[in-house]
Amino acid sequence: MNVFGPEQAGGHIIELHRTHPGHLSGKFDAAPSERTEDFAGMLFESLGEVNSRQHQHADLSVQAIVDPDSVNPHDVTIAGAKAEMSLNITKNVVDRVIRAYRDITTLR
Amino acid sequence: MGMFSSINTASSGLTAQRLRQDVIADNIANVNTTRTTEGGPFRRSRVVMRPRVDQPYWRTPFLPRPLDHGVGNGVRVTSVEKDMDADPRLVWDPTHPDAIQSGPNEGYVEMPNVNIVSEMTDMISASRSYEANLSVIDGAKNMFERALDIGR
Repeated sequence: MNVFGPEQAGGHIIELHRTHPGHLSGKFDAAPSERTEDFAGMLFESLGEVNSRQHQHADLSVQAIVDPDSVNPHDVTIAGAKAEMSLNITKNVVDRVIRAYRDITTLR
Repeated sequence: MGMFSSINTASSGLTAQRLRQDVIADNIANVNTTRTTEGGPFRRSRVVMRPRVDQPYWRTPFLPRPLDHGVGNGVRVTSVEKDMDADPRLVWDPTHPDAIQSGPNEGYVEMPNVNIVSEMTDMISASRSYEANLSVIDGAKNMFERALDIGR
């Protein structure tokens, strides 16, 4: 938890960031360590998430076969549905990005 | 509120209802158990559920709005407790090995306080709650798939 570091205190001026939405007066600032990446970075990170979901689904399926007593049946099917949904959304996003790129490059 | 938050919430409900069903199955299986390791007849168990929250939220109008964190995250079973309130049912059977040997209730056997009819009703209720949670997941998945169709 980043309370406040030396870069935020300068002399008598102390910068406070309200990162919790429950703090008073509603408006709050983003945390100072907010990542700003480009689209490619975000895409690769979400691909990593999709990959981990597929692995989770595969692991749960194997566990359901090897030791059926230890796993809930709805957990297995929900993990499968989540893996499929993440993959669908990634496919869709990539499709649209490629379509937009193609539209722009074939602009005559 | 992430993409899968309603699915996670419904999944916690499914797990809780399955645990409730397990407890009901245990109660029904032990309807005639007169001897337990802790002494006395079997006592029926009950499941205590609490909402699952990251930070506490209140539902009273007296606390300020910023302390109310909005939508919750599902349900969690905090404990499985034995119902010790009712007095055990006494059945007259002096030849039973667990009959009370002396005192005002001599010859009676203490039977568990499990009422099969109410346990079966609880089981139907747990089943219906399970199905309701399943349809929540179906609805969320439908919404998701329709959203992916935008602009196709």
